[in-house]
Amino acid sequence: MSAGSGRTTGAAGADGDATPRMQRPPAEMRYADELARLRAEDTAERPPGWALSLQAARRFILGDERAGIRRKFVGDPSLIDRALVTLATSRGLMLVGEPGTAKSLLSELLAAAVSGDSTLTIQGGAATTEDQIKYSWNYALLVAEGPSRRSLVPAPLLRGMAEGGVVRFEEITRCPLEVQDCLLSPLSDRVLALPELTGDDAMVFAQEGFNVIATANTRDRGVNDMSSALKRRFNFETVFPIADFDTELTLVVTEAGELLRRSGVTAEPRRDVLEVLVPAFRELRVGQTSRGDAMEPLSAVMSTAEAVSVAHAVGLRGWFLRGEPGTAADLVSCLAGTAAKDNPDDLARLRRYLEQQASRHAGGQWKELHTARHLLPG
Amino acid sequence: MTAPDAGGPFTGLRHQLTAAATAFADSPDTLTGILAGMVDDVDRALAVPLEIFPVCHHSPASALAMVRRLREKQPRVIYLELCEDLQPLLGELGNCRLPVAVQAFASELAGHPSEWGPLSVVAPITEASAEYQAIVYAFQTPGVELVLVDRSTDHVFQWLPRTPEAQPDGALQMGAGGGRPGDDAALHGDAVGVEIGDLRPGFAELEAYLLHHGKVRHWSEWWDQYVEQPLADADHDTYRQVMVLIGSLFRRLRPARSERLDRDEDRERYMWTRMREHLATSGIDPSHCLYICGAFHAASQVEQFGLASDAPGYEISPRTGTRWRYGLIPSSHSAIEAQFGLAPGSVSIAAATWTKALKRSGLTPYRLDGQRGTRTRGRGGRDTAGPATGPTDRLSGLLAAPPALNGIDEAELRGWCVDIVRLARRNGYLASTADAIAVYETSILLAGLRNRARPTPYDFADAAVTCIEKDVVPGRRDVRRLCEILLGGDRVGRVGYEALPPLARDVLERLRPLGLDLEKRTVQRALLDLHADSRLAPCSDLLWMLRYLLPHDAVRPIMGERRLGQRSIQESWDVALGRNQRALIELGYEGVTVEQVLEQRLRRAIRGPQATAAGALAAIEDAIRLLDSPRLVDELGARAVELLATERTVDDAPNVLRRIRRLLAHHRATATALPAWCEAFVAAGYTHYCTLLPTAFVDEQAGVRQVGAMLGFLFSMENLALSIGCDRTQLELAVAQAHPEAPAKVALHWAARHQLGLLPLTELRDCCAELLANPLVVPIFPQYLSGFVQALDPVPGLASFVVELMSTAFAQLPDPILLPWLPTLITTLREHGPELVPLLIREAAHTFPGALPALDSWVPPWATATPAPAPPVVPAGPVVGLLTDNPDSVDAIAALLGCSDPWQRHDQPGRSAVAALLARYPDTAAAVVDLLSVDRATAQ
Repeated sequence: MSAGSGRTTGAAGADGDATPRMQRPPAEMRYADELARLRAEDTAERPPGWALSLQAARRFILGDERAGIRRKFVGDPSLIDRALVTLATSRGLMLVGEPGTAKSLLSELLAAAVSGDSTLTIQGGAATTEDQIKYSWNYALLVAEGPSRRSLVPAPLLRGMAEGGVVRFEEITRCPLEVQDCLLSPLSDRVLALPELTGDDAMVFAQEGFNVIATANTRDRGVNDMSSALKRRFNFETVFPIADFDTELTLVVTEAGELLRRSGVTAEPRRDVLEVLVPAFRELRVGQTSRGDAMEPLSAVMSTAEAVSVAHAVGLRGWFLRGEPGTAADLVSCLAGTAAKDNPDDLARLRRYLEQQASRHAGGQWKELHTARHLLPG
Repeated sequence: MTAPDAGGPFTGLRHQLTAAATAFADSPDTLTGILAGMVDDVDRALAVPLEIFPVCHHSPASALAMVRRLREKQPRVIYLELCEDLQPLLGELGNCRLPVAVQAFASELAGHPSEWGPLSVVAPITEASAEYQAIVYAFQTPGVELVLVDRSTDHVFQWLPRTPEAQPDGALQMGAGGGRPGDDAALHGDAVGVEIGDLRPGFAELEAYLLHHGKVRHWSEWWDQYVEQPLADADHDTYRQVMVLIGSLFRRLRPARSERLDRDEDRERYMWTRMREHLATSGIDPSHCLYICGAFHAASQVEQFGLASDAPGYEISPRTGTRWRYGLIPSSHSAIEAQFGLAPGSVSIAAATWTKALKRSGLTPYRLDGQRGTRTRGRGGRDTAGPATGPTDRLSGLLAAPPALNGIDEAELRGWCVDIVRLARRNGYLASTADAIAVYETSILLAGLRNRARPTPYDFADAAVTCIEKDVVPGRRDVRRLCEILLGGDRVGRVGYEALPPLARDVLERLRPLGLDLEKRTVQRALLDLHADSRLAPCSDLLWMLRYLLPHDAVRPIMGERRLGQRSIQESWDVALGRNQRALIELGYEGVTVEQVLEQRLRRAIRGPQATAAGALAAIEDAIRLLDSPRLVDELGARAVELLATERTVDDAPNVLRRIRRLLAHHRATATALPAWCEAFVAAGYTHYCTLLPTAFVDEQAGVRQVGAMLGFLFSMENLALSIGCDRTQLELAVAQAHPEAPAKVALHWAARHQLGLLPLTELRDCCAELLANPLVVPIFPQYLSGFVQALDPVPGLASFVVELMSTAFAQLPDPILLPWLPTLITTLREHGPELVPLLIREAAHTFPGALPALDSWVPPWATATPAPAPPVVPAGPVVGLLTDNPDSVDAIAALLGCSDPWQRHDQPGRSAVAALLARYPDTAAAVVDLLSVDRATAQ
């Protein structure tokens, strides 16, 4: 795939030459070796147009210790089963859930596993138009030559249909309803009409392997609710936050470590600091302390993804300001921007938490967090 | 204990496992010990001459294997792992629709901690279970004896730890007591569940490991896929060996020396001791017997295991004095799942699997006479058991091969896909035929992904949820629930009429005139026109009693009420006795008739350590309302008098006052004379409250309302109390001794003194005026006002004064004081409205103008009423006359006493200072006289 190969060159440049390095390569590049191994060892039957079999795709996402495949998604394995099976049928896959529950990561992994390319992505928003989803025109050529395949600029949907790939549609419910509905025909009839062209060019038929993975936040429910017609063309899967503390902690440690390495920080994040960060996030998220006392939850999203980004920021702050791993005092500084954002009520809640709850936990880092509470801005 | 034969049929398997352990494990010795031990366990269990039949609860494979084995072996004695004291109930199963639960219930505890009570043990029985097949076989085959060998229900609780923090639910499987009453999942209430063949990994990590590698979501699914289905059509030897092997695996992989294991081992000792005793007394050949127990117990390590063991029998402790009562209660699949922590729908799927397996195998199950469905008997003739052959190794083949799955066939899957879409549409989903196709396709793909040849019901349910469930559940049921319904649904059992306790049967008989089918689980409306049909009056009485005794949704009056002295002539009831059969049956444990149980409950209410006089009066009301038994009322009344006399607090005084007033009014209206207990209660109350009054006035714990209620009792019952010999001086003394300090109580005290004639209204008004005039007291004036509001009940004559005082307060109190108090006033009036508000309103209506225009010219009555000057006291009488006529003696005495003023005659106005003044200035008086046109001569 051309797009993939182009980026591979860029990533390879990171090894020493002066080519700028990608901040976050797509999944098929990050895990290229695993995908290659899985493809080589994959003897099971593959659905038409798929890069891997269902079993291999499952192993790619959920990991396989014996084959040296890392686990990339922490969550219900049966969710992966159902998601993969949905993509093998004629239905689109809709991932819904709270913000920060790794829906986008999962869709990226699924796209990488199924079609080997996770870059056919549409980012939904209020200003998203059909042009950005289906196709637009090179206006110079259009004026010069009239409508033709040459002057057509394919958008991810058209490319996905033509190449048989998985198209990712992020935050679909943030798009206006009429824009969402342009997916109806590609999903049901697997065809996209190009009325400006004539003859064979007027229709693009989806190739084997084409499907759509959409994501939507439950917090945005009702912003642009999907039509029933579109809903019935998707299978809905809900992605829940990580319930188990240890799993969440391990995930934060791993992901933050990875991000820090990519940022050029050689010091590993301190586990004892993260052992403060993760419970604090959980308590602020659910509005209940580990001892069962009720407290005010923050209105901001306090997901695992946010915890990872705070851990990343803490590591960066410690390393680039003092040349050491981040401490609990750095945590206070970084929490304000992530947790409270611009909401003064949340800031007040966070301050109350640091004042009243942090001191009740045992441990040196909790004590340090409590001591550093004055670093909270405002 | 029987030692395993080192050279037995499992030698090959043992070698294979040992080699595998050596090859793969980090510490081969441990793994070898476990694996070889498992094979040893199988070997040992199979070597026992008394055939051990391992089962798992609610397992169709166990039930099928049991049917086959019973037909083949025709045992003469069956030993069953079930509480031995439940045996007499099993015969009643024929009168029930399964699933039902055998229950032991005890409310009067002796030897168990009283806080555990009431104790309830249930053993649910479904048709797709091995134990039910064995029970039916034993009952329907002549000469076969069924012996329950597990510890009694009393021992279930005896063996629980007695530490203070230990609770029955901490160690046993409690029912879904928290579920909503009326839910099928809450049918067992909060009973402790016992069952045959509880088989589950001993620790969470093992279960999680099995689930992860089995690619299943919960334990029931794992069991179904890896044990249930492979064993569904297995022969007896294979079934037996595999089950013992699994039992042994879970036995060996569990936390060492846990309380649960200790208890299980004690149970095994108990069972083997009981079996040995029975074998010894009956003299039966062990080869003609069958011991049915959980697979876990088949791999037992206790010293009493087997018949060859020479270990002494287990010493069985005697039962406690707790009085156990036994019966059958309805159960349901969902109740069983909730009780034993099974996945929702798993018992329903097991039932469907059982039906399907029967159809496929052509087996005829055992079913008791009278049970719903086709009556089927076991074959009458007694086949002789086949020649006994030694065990052969069936494990090696089974362990080496992948599980053979009996998934759902294609046609069945298609049917389900169509049906689920139909059900979903009926429940508000926008599902279509396209969804049915998607569900079908997804089911097959999911099964393939999970290494199954065909989809299981669990795969189908997953696929249905994936394809049909969107972001919102449009109706009451979501797709997963619809799948459960489709795959068999929850089945709710029913205890037949014959198996009901006498009380329940009596209730059904007595409610027959209503013309309802009371065994139905729906809510039925009963209309009772008591005027038109006199036969319905007893039904109404009974319904009111059931209303009192049963959960509130069992019988619910829609129209009509029954209060003291009031009966409706038409009533309408919602009756749901079928749905509340358990409650009705448990009521039957308490007595033979509803009246008897009600009487017992009322007596218990007044005899308990928490009994109060107000509670006793409530019981009396209920006795009059529901039973109309003067004898019981007298007994309860006597107890109420005792309780009142011994009460040391006045917390309940308002309740006591309200209830005794109501009862007195009732008795006065319905009888010529008050019952003796009423008079005794009033007399005791008068004395009691007089005694407590001074303390209550100063006690901070006693509220104003309580003191007000005491005064209410004393003042409103005064006539009756004095007529039966009480002394008013008691009350006067009590009021005189009271020295309240709290403002509200001071106001109450003033009101009491006013009622007793010790504080005239003018003085009371002066007191209040002083309060308002004192800036230091003004902030707490509302508290005084609260006291006066509470005084309205005991001293209703003060109503006009209270209205006056409230008006004055509203007029004079500053807003910062008045406004915070107003909510208190409103809430007080709202709470005690029925008593206080009518009085206030009536008085306010008399006082204030009725129309708005009149307000401008309105002058409060208390502002216009000038107090009449007190008439001059004119001493009169012969002594005064004598002293007046001879003032010298008095003047002399006055002089002796140091008083210089001479004696003055009061009837001589000229002597007064006024007269002297007027005499000095006569012009003024003359002018006044002129003005008044009074005759000058007269004036002079």
